[in-house]
Amino acid sequence: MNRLLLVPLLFIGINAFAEVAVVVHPSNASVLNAEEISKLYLGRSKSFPDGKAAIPLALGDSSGATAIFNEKVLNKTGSQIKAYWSKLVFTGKGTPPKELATDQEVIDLVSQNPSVIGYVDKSAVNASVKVVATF
Amino acid sequence: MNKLNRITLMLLPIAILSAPTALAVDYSYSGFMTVGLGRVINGSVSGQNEVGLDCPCMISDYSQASVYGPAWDIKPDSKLGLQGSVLFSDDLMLTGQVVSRGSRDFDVNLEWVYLSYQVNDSNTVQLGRKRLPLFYYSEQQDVGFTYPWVHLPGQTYGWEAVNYNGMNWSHNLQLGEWSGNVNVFGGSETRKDSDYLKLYNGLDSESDTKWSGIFGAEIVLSKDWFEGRLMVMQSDTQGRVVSQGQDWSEKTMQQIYGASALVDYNDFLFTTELFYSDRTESYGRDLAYTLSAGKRFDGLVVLLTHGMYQQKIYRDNPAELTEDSREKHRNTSIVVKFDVSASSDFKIQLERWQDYSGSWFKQNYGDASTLSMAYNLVF
Repeated sequence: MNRLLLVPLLFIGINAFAEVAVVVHPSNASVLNAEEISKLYLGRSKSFPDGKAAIPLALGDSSGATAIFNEKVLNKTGSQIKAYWSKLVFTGKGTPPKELATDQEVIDLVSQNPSVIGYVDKSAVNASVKVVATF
Repeated sequence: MNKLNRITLMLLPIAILSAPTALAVDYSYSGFMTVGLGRVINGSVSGQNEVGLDCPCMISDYSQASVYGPAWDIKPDSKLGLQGSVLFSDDLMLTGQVVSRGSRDFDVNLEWVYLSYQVNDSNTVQLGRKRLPLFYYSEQQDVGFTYPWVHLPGQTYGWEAVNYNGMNWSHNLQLGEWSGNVNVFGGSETRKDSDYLKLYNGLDSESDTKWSGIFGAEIVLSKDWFEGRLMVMQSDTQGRVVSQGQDWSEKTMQQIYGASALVDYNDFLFTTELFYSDRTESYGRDLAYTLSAGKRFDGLVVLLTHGMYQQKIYRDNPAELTEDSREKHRNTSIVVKFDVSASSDFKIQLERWQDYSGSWFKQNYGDASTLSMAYNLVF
């Protein structure tokens, strides 16, 4: 096999098997399904099922976890998500989830604040956060 | 000093006085850009029309007097916008937006400035200058990246007032599995030297239009693949042709109704928008609709659109309009939108404008086929 073809195949393989974990603070007792998580990340809901405020965190567009999260949880492409939030930002109706650069930054903030929810590559999860769903 | 600057100066002290004593001011900015290019390929009117436009010609945006002519032109749809927000606290924010438009020779104009106070998670009050939410895409009409066309369908999106000074209350709804928003707005708008009216009175003319006592509400509900919107508003309207030395006309009331539905199901897209205005006290009524159907493929969207605008002029109307000035036209278009990146796209649009108007509009605009394209970016 041509060696050049191996590179894209390798990336396809990684994405096909990567999993995203949605994480919250260990004290957060919320049970969340994909639709409820989607509402939090699209700004259509601003609180956890128990009524407490929810602050969603995202990773950047270039993150593999973001691509999987957009596809499997939000059912949208990166371009559709950008257009959705651009509409809200430029009409004064909302602001998108704050973007962080790395899985570790998400883990750190989630572990410090019971109001925060984030998603990371499942391999980055540690005991400081609680996984509420995987995709 | 223009009105926008006066509003800004009025809002700033309110914002500062409302903020906590120890201000932890934060800033954010974002922007959008459209680089457009297009020309009318053929049309029924040639040479310079009575208004002063080179024809064949086709209006791409009534409110900004953007018109494509027989030569390739970047101006009608090109624009650059910057939006900045100053966060005085978690609840209080001042937002301003400046836009440079090709249709205005790229002059920079302060488009919006408003103060936003988030009462709680569900309620926000905004005060200042904002976009008038007449149509589904009204508030985002400058941000080409957020809609599928090179320019919004002119048959529906063609009105003389696009902004207003006033306040609105926005309430987020959660009705079972339905999410939504109710927005109640009120205020007024005086548009000096209206671009829109230059399309009728001449490029060299100067006309003012005034909407006072604006009061309206819209509701948007969405669930999964469906989104629906209803809007109703009313206001008094007045106008004058300054270049003819006219004084303001008598106030006449208008009532406007809008309804739209969007379906995005399994990558099939359907949109419909209906608009009706009752202007019996001035000349009659207006009806417009837009219907679209399309399909999203991997990295691109193909969309077919048909729109119609029809003006009904009542006999013995107070504005003394005649059947000759009646406006009716249809537009059918196909647009292909390519995703360039997560935050940019390229669109190419071919459309056919068919004119069924009275003699004045038909002789000055008429039928036209136009090819246009645009690169859109948000940042």
